[in-house]
Amino acid sequence: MDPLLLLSGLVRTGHYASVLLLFGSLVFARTVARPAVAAAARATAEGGRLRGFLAHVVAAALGATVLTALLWLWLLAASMSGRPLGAALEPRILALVLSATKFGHVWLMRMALAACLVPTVTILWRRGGMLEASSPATLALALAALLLAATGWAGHAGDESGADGDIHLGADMLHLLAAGAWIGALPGLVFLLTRASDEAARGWFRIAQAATPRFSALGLVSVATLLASGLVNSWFLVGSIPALVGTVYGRILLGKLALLLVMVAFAAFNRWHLMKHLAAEAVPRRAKEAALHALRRNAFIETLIGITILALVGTLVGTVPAAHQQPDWPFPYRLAASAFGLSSRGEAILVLAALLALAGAAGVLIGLISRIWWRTAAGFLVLVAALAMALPDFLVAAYPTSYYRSPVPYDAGAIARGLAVYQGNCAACHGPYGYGDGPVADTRSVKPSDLTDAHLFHVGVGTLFWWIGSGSADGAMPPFAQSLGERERWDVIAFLRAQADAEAANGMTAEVEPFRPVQAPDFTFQLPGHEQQTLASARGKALVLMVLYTLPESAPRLAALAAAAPAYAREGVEIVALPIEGALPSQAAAASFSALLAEPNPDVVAAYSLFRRVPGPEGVLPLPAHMEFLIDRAGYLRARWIPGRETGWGSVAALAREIAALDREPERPPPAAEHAH
Amino acid sequence: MKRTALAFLAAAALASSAVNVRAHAFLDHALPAVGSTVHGSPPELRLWFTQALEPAFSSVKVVDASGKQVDKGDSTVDAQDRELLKLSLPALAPGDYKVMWRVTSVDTHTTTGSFTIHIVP
Repeated sequence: MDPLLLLSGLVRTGHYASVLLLFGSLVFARTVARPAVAAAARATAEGGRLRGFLAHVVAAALGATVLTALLWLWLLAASMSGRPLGAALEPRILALVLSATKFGHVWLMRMALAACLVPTVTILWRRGGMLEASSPATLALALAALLLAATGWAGHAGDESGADGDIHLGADMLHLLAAGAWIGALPGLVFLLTRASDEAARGWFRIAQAATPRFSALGLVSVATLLASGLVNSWFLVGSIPALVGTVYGRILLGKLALLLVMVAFAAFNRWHLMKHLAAEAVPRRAKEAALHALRRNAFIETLIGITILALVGTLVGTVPAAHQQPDWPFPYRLAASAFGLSSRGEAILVLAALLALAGAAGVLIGLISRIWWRTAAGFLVLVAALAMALPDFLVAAYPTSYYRSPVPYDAGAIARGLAVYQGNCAACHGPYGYGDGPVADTRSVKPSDLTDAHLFHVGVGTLFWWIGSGSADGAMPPFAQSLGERERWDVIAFLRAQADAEAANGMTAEVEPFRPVQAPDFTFQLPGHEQQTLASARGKALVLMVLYTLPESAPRLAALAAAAPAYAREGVEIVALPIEGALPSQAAAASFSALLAEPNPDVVAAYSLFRRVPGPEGVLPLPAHMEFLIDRAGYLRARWIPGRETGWGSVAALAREIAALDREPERPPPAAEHAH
Repeated sequence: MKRTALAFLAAAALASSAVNVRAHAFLDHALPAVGSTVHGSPPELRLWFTQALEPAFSSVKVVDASGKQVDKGDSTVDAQDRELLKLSLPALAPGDYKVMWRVTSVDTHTTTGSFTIHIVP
């Protein structure tokens, strides 16, 4: 591990620990110690010592907060400016971080709060107002709360805008405050319980007796807040179950949750077992002392676990959140909504299981109401049996890469590369068009899959990636990991998607049909005198009329389009013409329509050849020498026209009708950018 | 048809569930596009990232085959779109150029990367 990263993790952990301790000790003083000391009779001296301890802790925590904040600023100045630690201390760099970055602004604001805390805490220390209803105590608590909550601003939650960002930020701040109120208050409790069990003075014991139920209530509220806000945060930063179980970030988060649950278990044991002993009149003194010892031990262990959680948080902050990593799925199965594609036998089983589950649930209810335990147990057994029956239909085989997303964007380049890989490695079995009818298909013991089947992509690209690399479990599909690199496998998957989409595209006519999600593969193009554009950059702005032409046959059509181009432009239609073969024609040969001609791009021609197929004799699908595609504003292929075959878009008015049909459609979101960064 | 629609809906639901997830700035796309061939020297380079950037600590430069910096040295984060990093270019001779970026996201993480563009006449 990079030593600088490790150091940053330590400093962040130290900073979080200091701020939590600062806030937590003030919360402890306010909500636990103050009422407990007031409630305990004959404990004035002990109350004074507790107050002194808390004042020391608060002052030390404030000092540590400022110190770690300075270190954090230094480390960040180094990492942001890319300079070594020594050079990052230059005033110019520090000033830039403070004045020009969000972290700097939040840092300044928090240090201003810390500066206000210094005199307040000094007053509390000198005059001993820690355990009184004094205004310095209230002010210190409010300032510390702001100081802690503001930490969330500079973190992962601080960036998002809009309602989602507000929810995430709010949850993050609540999370910090709840953690402070519980973990940060533990050292105060440990001190109190240690005194109470070590010293003979009964005053300590009476304070502890009054304090423990109050602390327990504080803990309960904190845990509920921690779990709820943690859930919201995880949703934003992890986003899915595979990311939770399959990435470093997600697994650290699970470890944190496990530790929190251990803490909750301790707290529950304290509350419902040990504290009963402490409070009950009838319990003998020896047992009470034993309970107090156990409480102290538990509080100490909880503090250690709390520090471990903080160390995990310090690490988490520096790692890439799970949503940006490929999740490795650790289980051989995954749950899938395959119920949509169930066989009739599967459906019958599902109905039976549902009926059984209802009967089981009824049994459990009847048992609970009538308080006859065997009815509850029998109902429960039936319920479990019903689940066991239904589950296999929802479990599908899964592989480590099942939830991988493609690192390759869906564009012409990837499809063209994938096409070449397919022809060299796959076509022999799966056939030239993916129907599973390649020349050697008959020699295989299992018929090669039809890759144009709509179900193919239901398993997810991650599973396809696994099958291509490692072969299928039954051995019908051989593994290609030895011959194809990861990039090539992803390219083939982009090609397979285009090939499956082409089935739909090849049924398109010149008339805009009801929507089908056939995404037009992205590509870059450059028109004369213009900068480079991409199809994606036109999204939301223009309809694209894409023309794949061959000269000289296409010349009259291109000339007609060029004449109509200004009219189309007014309708929000951009025309892009690409040659199917060869270079751009000379200026003289294409004078009337050269403005439409984009630079030749073999990748685009190769990728769109999949969408250009027309029915032909004996299973061969010919490619017309001229074809036009209408791509809607969201980036989907919507219609295609082959001059000579249909009247189609021969007149400006005919094309305008199709454009008007697209304009009447409700706005559709563009295809999601699915590839992983 | 119905199955396709279902699959589409499912895919849309899945995709929309994870759109707000960010935290490090990664290159989303660029114009001229990553690895692309450009006809004529482009006047400007635009890089879109997955997260808002810190202007003071985000920059991009272009070097030629010999490693010499050839851009105008004015890389800026767009004032309206904080996820967009821009750089002006002088008229460049045909050849391969390396685009090198180093950005800091508003939540303090620094990331780096590079890609090549090919300029042809």
